[in-house]
Amino acid sequence: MFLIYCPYCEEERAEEEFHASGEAHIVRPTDPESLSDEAWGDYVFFRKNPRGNHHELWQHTTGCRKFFYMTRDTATYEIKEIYKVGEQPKVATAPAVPNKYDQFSSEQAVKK
Amino acid sequence: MSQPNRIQGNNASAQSRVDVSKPITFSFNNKPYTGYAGDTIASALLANDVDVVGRSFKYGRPRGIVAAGAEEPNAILQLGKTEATQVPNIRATQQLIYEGLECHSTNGWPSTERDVMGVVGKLFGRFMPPGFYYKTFMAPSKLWMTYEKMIRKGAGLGRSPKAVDPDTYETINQHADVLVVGGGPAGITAALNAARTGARVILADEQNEFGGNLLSQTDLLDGAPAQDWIDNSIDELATADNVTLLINATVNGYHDHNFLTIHERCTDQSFDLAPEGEIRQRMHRVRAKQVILATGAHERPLVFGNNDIPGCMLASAVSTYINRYNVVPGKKLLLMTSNDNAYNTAFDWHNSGRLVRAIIDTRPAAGKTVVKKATDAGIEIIYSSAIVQAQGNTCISNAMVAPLDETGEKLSGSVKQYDCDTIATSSGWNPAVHLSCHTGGRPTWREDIQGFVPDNFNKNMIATGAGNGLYPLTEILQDAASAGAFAANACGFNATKTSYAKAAVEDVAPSMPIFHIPHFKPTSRAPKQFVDFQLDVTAAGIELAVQEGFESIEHVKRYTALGFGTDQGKLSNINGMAIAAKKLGKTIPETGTTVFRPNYTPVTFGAISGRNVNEFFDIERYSALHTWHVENGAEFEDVGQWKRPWYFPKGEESMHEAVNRECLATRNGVGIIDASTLGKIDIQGPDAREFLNRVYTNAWSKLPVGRCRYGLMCGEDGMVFDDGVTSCISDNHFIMTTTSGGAAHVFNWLEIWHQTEWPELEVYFNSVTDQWATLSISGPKARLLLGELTDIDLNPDTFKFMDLREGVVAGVPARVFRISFTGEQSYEINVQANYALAVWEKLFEHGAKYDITPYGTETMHVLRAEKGFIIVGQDTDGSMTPYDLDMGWAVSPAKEFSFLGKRSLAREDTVKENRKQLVGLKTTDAKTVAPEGSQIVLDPNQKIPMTMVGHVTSSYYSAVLERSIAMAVIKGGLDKMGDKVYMPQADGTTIEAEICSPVFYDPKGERQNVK
Amino acid sequence: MMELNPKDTSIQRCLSMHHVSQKHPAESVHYSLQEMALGHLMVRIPETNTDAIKAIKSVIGLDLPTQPLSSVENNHFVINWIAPDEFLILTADKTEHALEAKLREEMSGHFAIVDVSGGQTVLSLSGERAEKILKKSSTYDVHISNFPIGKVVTTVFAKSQLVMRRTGADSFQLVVRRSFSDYIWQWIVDAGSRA
Repeated sequence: MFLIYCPYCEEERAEEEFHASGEAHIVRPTDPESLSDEAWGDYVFFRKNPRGNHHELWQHTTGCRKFFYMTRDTATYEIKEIYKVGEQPKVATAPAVPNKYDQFSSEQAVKK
Repeated sequence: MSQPNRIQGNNASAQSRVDVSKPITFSFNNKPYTGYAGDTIASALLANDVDVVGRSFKYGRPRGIVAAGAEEPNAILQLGKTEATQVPNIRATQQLIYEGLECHSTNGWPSTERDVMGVVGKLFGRFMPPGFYYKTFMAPSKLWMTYEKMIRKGAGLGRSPKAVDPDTYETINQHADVLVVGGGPAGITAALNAARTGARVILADEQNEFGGNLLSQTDLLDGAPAQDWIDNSIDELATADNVTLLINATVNGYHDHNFLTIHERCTDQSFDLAPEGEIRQRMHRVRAKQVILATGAHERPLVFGNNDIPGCMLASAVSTYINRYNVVPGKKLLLMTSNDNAYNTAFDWHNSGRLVRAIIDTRPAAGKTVVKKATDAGIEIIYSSAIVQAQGNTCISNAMVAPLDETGEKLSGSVKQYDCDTIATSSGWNPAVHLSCHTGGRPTWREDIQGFVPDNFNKNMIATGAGNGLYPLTEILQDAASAGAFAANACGFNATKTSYAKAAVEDVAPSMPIFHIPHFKPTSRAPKQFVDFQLDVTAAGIELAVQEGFESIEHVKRYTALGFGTDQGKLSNINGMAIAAKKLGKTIPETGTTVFRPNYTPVTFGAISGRNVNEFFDIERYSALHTWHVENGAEFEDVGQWKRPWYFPKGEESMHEAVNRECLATRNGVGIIDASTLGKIDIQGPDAREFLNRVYTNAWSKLPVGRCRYGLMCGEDGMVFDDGVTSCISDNHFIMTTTSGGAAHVFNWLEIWHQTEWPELEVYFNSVTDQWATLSISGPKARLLLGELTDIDLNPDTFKFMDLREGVVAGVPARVFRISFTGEQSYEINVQANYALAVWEKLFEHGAKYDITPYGTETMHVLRAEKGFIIVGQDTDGSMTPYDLDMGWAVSPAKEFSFLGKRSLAREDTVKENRKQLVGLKTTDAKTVAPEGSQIVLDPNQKIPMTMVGHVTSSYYSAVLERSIAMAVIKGGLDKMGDKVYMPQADGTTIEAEICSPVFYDPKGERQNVK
Repeated sequence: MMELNPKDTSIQRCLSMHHVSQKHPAESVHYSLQEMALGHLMVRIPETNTDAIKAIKSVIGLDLPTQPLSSVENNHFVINWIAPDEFLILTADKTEHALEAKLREEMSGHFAIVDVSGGQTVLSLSGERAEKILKKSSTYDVHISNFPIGKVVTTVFAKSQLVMRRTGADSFQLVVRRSFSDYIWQWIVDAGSRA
C-alpha cells in the first residue's frame, strides 16, 4: 500500500485513493488517417514494459480526480518523482536493453 | 496430585505472572485440567505433567512442548467449544486459558496416544525420506487418489469450522510518527524516548503483557526486579496522550512505505465467543513515518538424535516456564549449550528445588560469571561434549553424551549415559528478522553472532535490541534509547538526550558456532535428528536433498518442506541452512538467505474482512425510489453496485408471469420504470460540442437546443464500449447519459482525454447521476397520464420524438425527454431527486385508472429486444464495431475531427469479411427460448469439434408476439438473412432458428408517434 | 437554468438520509449524526479566469480558497476546495437557485455551475466518538495535527468515498452522494455502536 504524493492536493495519500492508467505521454497522432495500420496499431496496442524507471499515468480517483505522472522503478517500486500534466519528467526511463527476443518486435510480427 | 510441576513454597518464582488465587478449569483432549489465571495452555499442561501434545505431521511421532512463544512448532492445537468457534492451528504457548476452554491435538488417528501413523512411521520411517510421496506413488498414477485418502486421514494440522463465524471483527486505521514493534526492554525503552519528545507513538506487543524477555529472565534493572521498571514505564506510556499501547497485538505484516497490519486479539484470551456487543479481534492498519523493530530473537535448539522426544526443549523456554509461569517441566534436567547465556536455565532449575543432572558445554571453556554460579550451586559442567542422542518414547528416560573435538564436527571419545527427563539445549539466538523481509529486504549475515540481522534498505526503519543482534542487556537498552530519539527526530521532533535503565555488565565468554551434533553413526543411519519439528524434516533429509542436486537453499526448502509449516521455520531455518551449507561445502551466507512473507503468525479471515460482511459486504446503491420498490414487492437485480427492480410480482406470480403481464400492460396501457440509475454527466463550456464530436461516433455540432440524440462511444480500437442519449439544454450545455454500470468509466474517459490530450478545450464535466431521478412512462396511455399532471404542451406534432421540454410535473419543476427504449410513446420525467417520490406517487394516483404498471429491468430488456435495441455489455463484449452492430447510421465519417475509434474502423481486421455481426433469431419452435450464450453452428451434424460461428446475446419470450425472440452475433450474419442456424445444447438437443432482422415488433416505428 | 424546488411547499421532500435514518436511528450518547438540509453548487473555474474568481468574492463575500484542501465560510456560505478548478459551495436550504443566478450574472469567461442539491447531502457528525468513527472508516490521518479545523479532503470512506471537513475539535461535516447514503449512514451507525 504505497503512499503517493498528489501534486494538486499537495499531500501524500494512500494508494487506494489512486488508479494507475498505464504508460504516460502517449500522444494521439494528429492525423490518424495518414497512418498505416501498423503505425496506428503501435499507438493503440503497444506499450513499453521496462524493468526499471517507467513513466506512468495515475489518477487521484477518490480525491481531486486529476491525472498526473509518476516516474517509478518497476523492479523496486520506488517512486522517483511526481509531476503534473503539462510538465516534463526529470528522471529518465530505463534504457532499452537489447535482448534475444528482439526478433519478435512489433514490426516483424505484423510483416508476417 | 494436581499440577505436580507447579513450584511450591519458598522455591516459587518471585516474578511469576500467574495468579494462584484464580484457578481455572479447562480441557485438553477431553480431559479436564486445572491451571491459574495467567497460564497459557502450554504452561498449564506442563504444570500438569502432560508430555505428549500431538503427533508429528509425517512420521506420527509423539511430540511435546518445545518453546514458550510464537516459535512453538509442536503444540499446535484445535481450539473451540462449538462448531462455529473452531480455531485451527493455535499455538498452546500463545493462548491463555480461560474457564471452560476446550482444545485438542490436531493429529493422531485414531487418537494422539495411539496413532496409526506413529506405528507406520516407526516401522517404515527410514523408507519415507523427503520426496517419498513423489517417488513411491508416482506409478501407477491411477492409485494416487486412493493413497491420498489414506495419507490424508493420518496427517494434517487442524480443521476449519463448518458453521458461520458468529463473532464481530473490526478494522481501524492508525497514523503514528513512530511505531515500535515489540514491547520488551528494547521496545519499551525506544517508545519512552520517542514519546517524551511529543511524537505520536504506537507500541505493540504480541503477548498478553509487556516485558518481553524480561519476564523470562531474572535480570535486575536499576538495581530492582525488572517488573518494577516495566510497570513504571508502562504507567508513563499509558497516561501519555500521544501514546497508544496495544497488547495481544501481533504486528503481522510490514508492507510498502511503512504500512503495517497489526492483529489485536481483544477477547480470544478470555472467551470462546466474544460477549454480546464486543468485537473479537481488531485489525489496526498503521501508517508510520518511522518504524522501530524491537522484535527480539528466538533461541535455536541444537540438532541431535531423537531430539524430538517430549521433554527436549529450548533452554530459554525452560527458564520462561520457571520464572514467568512458576512451572518446572520435569524433575531432572540435562542442559546442552554452546554459549554462556543458557547456563541461566540450569540456575533457574536449581533454584526451583529440582535436580540439574549436568551442564554439557560444547566449548572447552565458559565465562567466569556463569562458571562461578554453577560451582556455587554444585552443578557439574562437562566441557567439550555434546548430547548425541536422547532415549525414550513418550518422554525422555536418558541421554547419551560424548566428547566433541574442538571443531565440533567429530566425536572424540566414547558415549556415556546420563539419566534425565528434560533436555534443554541452546545453539544461540536468531534475531526475529521476519518483518524486515516483507517488502523485499534480504537480511545480512553477521559472523560474530552467527545470525542474520535486518538489512537497511528501508531508510525509515530501524532495528534495535536482540532483533538487531544485540544480546547484552546493557547494549540493548542504550541502543534502543538512541533508536527512539533518532526516530522521533526524523519526524521533526527534538530529542536532545536519551535515558535508559541500568543493567549489570557480565563477563561473557564467546559462544561456539555449532548447529548439528555429530553422531557416532553417519547422519543417514543415525536416529532421526530433527531440524523442522512441524514438518518432520531431518538433518539426513536435508543432506539427501543436497546430494540429489538441490543446491539452492530455496530448492532445498521446497524439496524437504523445511520452514513450510505454520511456524514459518522460526526454529529450523538457520539450523537447516547450516546443515545444507556444510554439505555443499559453503558458508551460510554463501548458501543464501531465507526470507519471509506476511503474515508472521496465522490470521483468521474474520480479522481481515472486518465489518465488510453481511449487509456491508459490498456497497448497495439505491435510487430515490428504493423504499417504494421494496414496499411494493419488487425483486431486485444487481446492476453494477445498484439494486434495480428486476420485476414486480403480484401475488404468487412467477418471474415469467410477472414479466409477461408487465410487457403487455406497457404496450397496451402505460408502464412506468425507475431509470434513475443511468449515468448522467453535465457538460458545460464553449467547446462542449467539439468535445462531443470527438468522443462520439456521430455529429453534434448542429444539435439544436431542446433536442436529444443517441450516441455511440468507441475506444481507440473502434469497439463500442458505451452508449446513451445526450441532450442539448442550451448552446454550451449538454447532459450526457450513459449505461448504469458504465457511468464512472465514461466519466473518467472524458476526463482523461480532456486533461491529458485536449486541455485547451474549454469544457467541464460534472456527475449529476444522483441529482436527477428519472421516472419513465411508456405506452399508448402515457401521454394521457402525463397530460393530467403537467403544464407542458404535449401535442406530439410540436413536442416531437427526441425533443425535451422544461416545465412542471405534479407540482415539481421537471425536464421531460421524449425518448423511448421500449418503442412505445414514452416520456422520461427528470426531477430533482428529493422530490422523486412525491411525483412517482402522483403518477400512480392518476395512473390507477389507466392500470399503470410498474416494471423492472427484465421487462425493459424484453421490450427493447422486441425493437432490436442493443444493450452495451450484453449484446456487445468489447469486440463489436458500430458496423458489426449494423449501426452504421450512428457513424458520421464526414466529421472534421478523426473521432476516437474512427481510424480503427478502417483497420484491415475491422473491415474484413465474415466478422461477427448482430442479427435477430426466430426459433423454429416459437415457444422455445434459446438460452443466452448458446453457441451457433451452421451444420448440426458436423463432428465435434464443431465450427462455432457465433452465440446468442439476448433471448426472451415475447408476450406481445406470443413467441420467443433473440439477438445473436453471427459471422457474416447480415448477409445470411433467412438462413437456418443451429444451437446444440448441453443436454444433447439442438435448437433450430432462422436469422432475421432484430426489429421484431413495429418495424416502422409507428407506435412511438401515436396521436 | 431552472429553479428545481417546487413553489408549493406542501409537496413532500425526502432528503437522501430520510428513509435510512428512520430505519437505523443514530441514538447514542457517544456521538450525534444528523442530516443537514443545504443548497449545493459545484463550481468549476480555471485558475486563469481571474475575473470569475473575483466575481465569487463580490457575490458571496468570500475569497475563493486557492490553498489546496482548505475552506472558507461566513454566516451564509461555505466554499470548499475540491480540486484546483473545482469548488463546492454550500448555501442555505433552497437558496441555491438564486445563488446560481447571481453568480452567472457576475461571472464571465469559461466556468461551469451545477446544482447538485438533490444529488448529495451533508451529514454532521460530532461527539467524543466522532474521530474514532472516522478512523474506522478512512485511511486519512484525521488527527487534528494533520486535519485541523477548516481542512476539507475527498477520500476513501469504508468501500466508498466522500468529502469531509473538520468544523471543530470533535465535529465534522461529511458530504455524501445520494445513492451511497444508506450504505454510509448504516456504516457510521454500526461503527459508532462500539468504542
